[in-house]
Amino acid sequence: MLTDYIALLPEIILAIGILILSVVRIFRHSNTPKTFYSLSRVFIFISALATALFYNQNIGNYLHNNSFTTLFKTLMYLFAFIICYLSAKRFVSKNMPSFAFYFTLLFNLLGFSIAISAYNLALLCGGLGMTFITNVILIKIEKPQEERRHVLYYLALSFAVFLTMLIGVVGLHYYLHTFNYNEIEKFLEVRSNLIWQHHFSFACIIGSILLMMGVAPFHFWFSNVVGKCILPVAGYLSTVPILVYFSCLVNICVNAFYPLLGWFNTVFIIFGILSIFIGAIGANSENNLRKIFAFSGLYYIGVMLLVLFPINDNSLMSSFTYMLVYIVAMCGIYTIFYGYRSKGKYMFNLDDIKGVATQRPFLSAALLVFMISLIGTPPLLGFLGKLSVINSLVIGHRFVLLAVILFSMLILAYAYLKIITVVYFEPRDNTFDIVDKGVYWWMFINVVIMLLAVINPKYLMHDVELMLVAVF
Amino acid sequence: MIENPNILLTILMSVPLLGILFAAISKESPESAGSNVLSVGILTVVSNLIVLYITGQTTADSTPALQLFEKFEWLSTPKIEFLFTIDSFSLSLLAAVHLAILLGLIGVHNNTYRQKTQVIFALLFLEMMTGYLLAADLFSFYIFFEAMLLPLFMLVGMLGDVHRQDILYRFFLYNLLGASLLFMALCILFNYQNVNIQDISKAVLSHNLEIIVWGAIFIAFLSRIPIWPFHYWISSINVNISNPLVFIIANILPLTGVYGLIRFFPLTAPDIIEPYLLALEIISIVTMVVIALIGFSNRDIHYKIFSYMTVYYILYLLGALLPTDALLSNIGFSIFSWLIIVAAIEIIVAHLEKERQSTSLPERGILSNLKCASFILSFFILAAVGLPLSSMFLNNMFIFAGLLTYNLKMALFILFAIVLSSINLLQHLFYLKYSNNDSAENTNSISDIPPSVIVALSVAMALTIISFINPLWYME
Amino acid sequence: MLTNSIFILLFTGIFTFFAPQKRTTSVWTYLLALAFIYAIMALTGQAVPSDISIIWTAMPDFSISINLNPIRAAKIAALGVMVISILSFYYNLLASDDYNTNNLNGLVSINCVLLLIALCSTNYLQLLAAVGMADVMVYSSINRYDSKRQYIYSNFFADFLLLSILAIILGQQGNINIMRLEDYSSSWHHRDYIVIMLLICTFIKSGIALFHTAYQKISPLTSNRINFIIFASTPLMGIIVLNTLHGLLNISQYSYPLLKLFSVITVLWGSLGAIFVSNINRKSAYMGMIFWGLTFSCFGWLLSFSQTRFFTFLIAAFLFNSWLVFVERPSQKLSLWHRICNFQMILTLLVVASYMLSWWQFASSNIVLATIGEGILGVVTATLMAERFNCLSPNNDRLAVKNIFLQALPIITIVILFVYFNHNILLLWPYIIATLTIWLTCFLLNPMRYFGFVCKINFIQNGDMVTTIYSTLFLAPLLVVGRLLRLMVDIVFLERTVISSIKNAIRFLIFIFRRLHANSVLSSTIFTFLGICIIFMAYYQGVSK
Repeated sequence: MLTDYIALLPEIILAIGILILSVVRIFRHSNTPKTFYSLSRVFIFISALATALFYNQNIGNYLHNNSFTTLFKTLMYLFAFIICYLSAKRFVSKNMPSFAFYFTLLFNLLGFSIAISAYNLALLCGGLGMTFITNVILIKIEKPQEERRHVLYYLALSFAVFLTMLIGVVGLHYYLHTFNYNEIEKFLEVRSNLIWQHHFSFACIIGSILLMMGVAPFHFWFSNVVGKCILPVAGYLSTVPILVYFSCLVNICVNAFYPLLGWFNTVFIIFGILSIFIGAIGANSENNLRKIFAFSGLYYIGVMLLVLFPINDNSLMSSFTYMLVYIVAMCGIYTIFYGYRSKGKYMFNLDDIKGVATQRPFLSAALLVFMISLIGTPPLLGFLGKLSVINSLVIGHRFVLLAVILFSMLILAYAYLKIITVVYFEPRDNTFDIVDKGVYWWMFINVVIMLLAVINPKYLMHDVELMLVAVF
Repeated sequence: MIENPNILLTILMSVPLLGILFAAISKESPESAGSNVLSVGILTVVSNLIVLYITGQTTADSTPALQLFEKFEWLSTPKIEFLFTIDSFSLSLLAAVHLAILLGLIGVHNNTYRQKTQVIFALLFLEMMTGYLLAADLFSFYIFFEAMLLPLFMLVGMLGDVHRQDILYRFFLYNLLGASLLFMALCILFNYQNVNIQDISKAVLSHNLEIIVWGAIFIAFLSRIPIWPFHYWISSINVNISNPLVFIIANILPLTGVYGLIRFFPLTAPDIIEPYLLALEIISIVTMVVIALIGFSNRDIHYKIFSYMTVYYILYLLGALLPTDALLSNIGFSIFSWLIIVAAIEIIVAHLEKERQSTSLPERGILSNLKCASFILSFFILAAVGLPLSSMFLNNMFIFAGLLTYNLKMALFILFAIVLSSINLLQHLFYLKYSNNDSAENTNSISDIPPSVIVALSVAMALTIISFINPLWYME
Repeated sequence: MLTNSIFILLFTGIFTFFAPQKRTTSVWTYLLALAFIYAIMALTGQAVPSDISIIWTAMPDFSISINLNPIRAAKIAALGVMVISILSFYYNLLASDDYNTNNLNGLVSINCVLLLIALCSTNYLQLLAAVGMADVMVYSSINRYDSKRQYIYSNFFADFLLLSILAIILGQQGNINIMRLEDYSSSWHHRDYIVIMLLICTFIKSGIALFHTAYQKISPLTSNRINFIIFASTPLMGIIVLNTLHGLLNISQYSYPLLKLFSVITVLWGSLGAIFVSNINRKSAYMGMIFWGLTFSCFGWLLSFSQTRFFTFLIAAFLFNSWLVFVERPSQKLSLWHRICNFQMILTLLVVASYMLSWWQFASSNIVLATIGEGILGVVTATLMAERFNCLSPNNDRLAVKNIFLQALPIITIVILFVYFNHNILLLWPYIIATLTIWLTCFLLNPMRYFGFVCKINFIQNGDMVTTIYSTLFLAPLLVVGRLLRLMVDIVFLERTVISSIKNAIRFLIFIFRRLHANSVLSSTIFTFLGICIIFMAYYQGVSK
């Protein structure tokens, strides 16, 4: 009987990790910022191992693990690990307590892990909703009293989202008497069964997920949150949750709500186009670096959305590649932000990093590489993403969308050019602190991974595709 | 005799990358002041030139069945392979680009501002150009077509003295748009027919798709060439660049547009684009005349060089669009000398500008006491205007013959533009040479071009003369 | 063999060019002269012309051969070219105010080689290459910037015209063989254009009226350079081109009328200039203009163009011009009679006689032309010599050469050779004496002195009408159009209209964006409401309908 729950091992490990962290926090007084990092990384590492080991173990009709879920979980753990490592540098350098961050991180990973594997609406709702609410702890870290208003605003919003999702889930259960994806799909396949309440519930659930992703027009919270929180939180929110929401969205659309996707396709297209435009224009309107990349993230999410639906092998592969490229680049960019420090303060305004290339040439070169990759310029990894996306749109004869994406990309590229100009072409105002070697190491590894992936993309394009199609 | 001559293509593409690596890790001290990294850069280019020479010899020996060919399998699903090959046309252009950049590197040997950065990006640009000129399939063509924008942007931004950044952005975005359109066209072709570059015209597409594809291809390549009305920001960029290496690189960029059209455009134009070709020709000729006229009225030497280059780029473009392949060799050989000549002119002009700024002397008569600079500049400007000092003389004759046969009236406008742009250069030469008594005394304080530059320019002079006497010397 | 000769001349010329300038000038000059003499002997000694052509591989599938095999007519022209080059060397050596004699002699030698290559050309490209390279040589020999500028502008334009017409012929004929011009003639494409361009090209090269400014601008140079440029270089090349491509003159009805018209204008203009302009070097240039005008008139009026007579005429003209600038002003202390009877006068008569006789021989097949030309030559030369001998020129330059016997040597030599090879001319001794008598009368009376007031007009002395016309009619409009285009197209249209519109549109979008995102609660409400509306509309469209 225990073996039936072996698939829960990663989650159990995470839960234990949360517990231990709490115990250490309460009972051990000589904690340093690095203490919780050291603990967290162990549990993340073991969870990741366990995930890989029990990649195809299910738990009844509640949790299904296959290569699709394993892929996303692995990526989630990997990026979480990187965020953990880099965050530790920040907490150590500032000598600030890190418990809240690592605790919430582990908690979120737990919730995400459940949500990714969920084959049950309740678990999905619980996993995603709780993590979305607990993000408020992350946002609150080191926030001065006068800015707590934003925390309250986010708390209200997250509750509202959770409620919406709950309404959707409960509503569907009320009419279908089940939370199971399979059963839901079977019921919804019969068109004569469909009533507006089904559609409403479906819209509530999907809408909530889209809001959590920060898709336009529900993007209003994301840039403000990312722009005002501490660097580790910004980095985390820009990378890990996107992966998770993407996988949950795909999972639920393919396995539960496929029959209802017909009319919602229009919504995806409009939301995608709005995201693209708002992301491109937003990136140009900001001076806060994190907000710029938050809006640019909106652009990429919009593209992903446009390419993803209608969901088939090709579109799934294309949007996944694009998303992965975005996340890898974003991870790299945030790594570099850890290196842009002057007099102990992390720089987050465009004017603060004027001429940094003269003092930090390798970091700036890496920033250039990542941004050029985000534009999709060959021969960097972003080209692979662009290739997948454009290829997919051409195969689908969606030339108008293609034109929209290309046009918006030019507007977005303008924002990146401004950053490059400031970093390379402006005279330097500040003196930048010495960068931790760990930052250089991760930056280097990130660049190498990008280059290797583009030189030999067979693994990415072929082997990963086999993993992705397991969702069907 | 090399056992596997195809390896030469790989070496050609690898040498600049190695050069970038060595340049990045080279150490600089205050005493060396950038000379280490510059030496690395020069050595890299020279090494690649030697490989090019060996490649030329090998290509000359080979039968058609043994042409150099390198394949690299990139993706299996979808199946994308990168193909590289070389013929005498691309060989000429490669040699010209290498020599021009070599001259540029020599020309900046005294310029220590961000020396490492400029060498690295110059080598990166060279790498992209090499790949572009060797590419034989759609995707590798596109990859290098777009990838070269980054080093160019960085060089122009850091070292180009472009004070209005919005012009720089527009320049980059405009080229990026062209590249993106090309990518879209290639994806369509790849998905529908998966054709080679030479067989694009044989692809069977629907009417609308054919218009989209050809329109995208043309816009993509034309975006690199300063065709009216898109010449404005390209000219705005060029006239502000005082660094000779950056100026040379920025003015090599339109070559990619011309080369692309030569490779993509079939012998017989598809019916669908036939009516638009005439419009393109008219716009091209209008551009030539307009830019030549603006250059004539503009005192700035950089604009004059830019207008000269634009006119000749469009000349080569129009020659390439003629319904014959016979002119390709002529275009290639002509460009070989032409790029070297322009690079040499730019080196000397940049030196004079630098001296002038350091001594606050007027431009007029600045050459009056500089014998070497005066002689070399006169030589290159006379060669540039088409006198028999380079392969331009002979090969341009054939290009003109083709154009004049095709349409006399249009060709007369072309000739007018050529003559005017050449007169612009001559005008400036005499403006620099002519002195009154005051300026003749003051120019004693200016130093002539340094010996290393004289040697390099002398070699360039010898090459241009050899190219006139025996254009195929590197293939014998 | 000519090939050997050409290479010997070429290499000797190159070595001389790079030889030390201020030393061993005589040695190098004699070396050159020896090389030329050897070349002449080789050329004249050739019984059977050798068939020499050097393959000039231009491209993989097209090769051009450089032919160095002169046909009989070209052989004579080659001789003439070499003789005039030797004369140039000689006068370069004599000119002590020229400090780069080796350099100049080298250029003369290479120029001669290029003239020979042009003479031997059987294909367009050889001809064009020779013409272009000769321009470079002559450009290098001009050692003043303003003169260089005028020269290169004009000749560059002329070369381009030649290139364009040859390109048309090449494009339509498909081959570059000059001997096959008749094939082109039979198809007759763009005939008027070709002929007019050919004529303009040769007019520019030879300094015909309205295209003569370049040769006026070389007047500040030393006299030996002026004579080399006027008689032994570019204008001569122009005639060679015209002669080589004379078959094209028949394809248009405008060719001969234009030739005649311009030759007449040139002769008249040159005559007036030579008489009324005070500067001796400019007079020399105008004399050159008269010479070339008369030569072109022969092209226009005569049925055939004799190479031998042309080159005889050329040498005589060269000698006259050299004598004109070298002749010294006689001492004021001598009486008129003594001034007339001295050695200079005898030489003057010899030079003038040979000039006028050679012209008569050249144009003798058209008596009217010959007579008119004779008359003009006579009046002009008489007036010029009268000015030199009667010291009437107000602005006479001091001359460099002192030793009159060195000046006399070439004159006497040429005259002897002329008489030797044309001893039949002596049968016309009554006419010769009569002509000389008339000439002397003109010389002594100097009827043109009554028009001396014209010399005082500043415009005549310093004005340059042609340049003014060109600047006003051609250059100024181009400048104005260029500036207008830059202002209107670049700045007004593109920058202010198109670019500004796009920039303003983007700024407006950013403005709207910022306003929408300014207030968190309001923006979230608006966007949430928007999202819900979109979902509802999609549901309504997709399901309810």
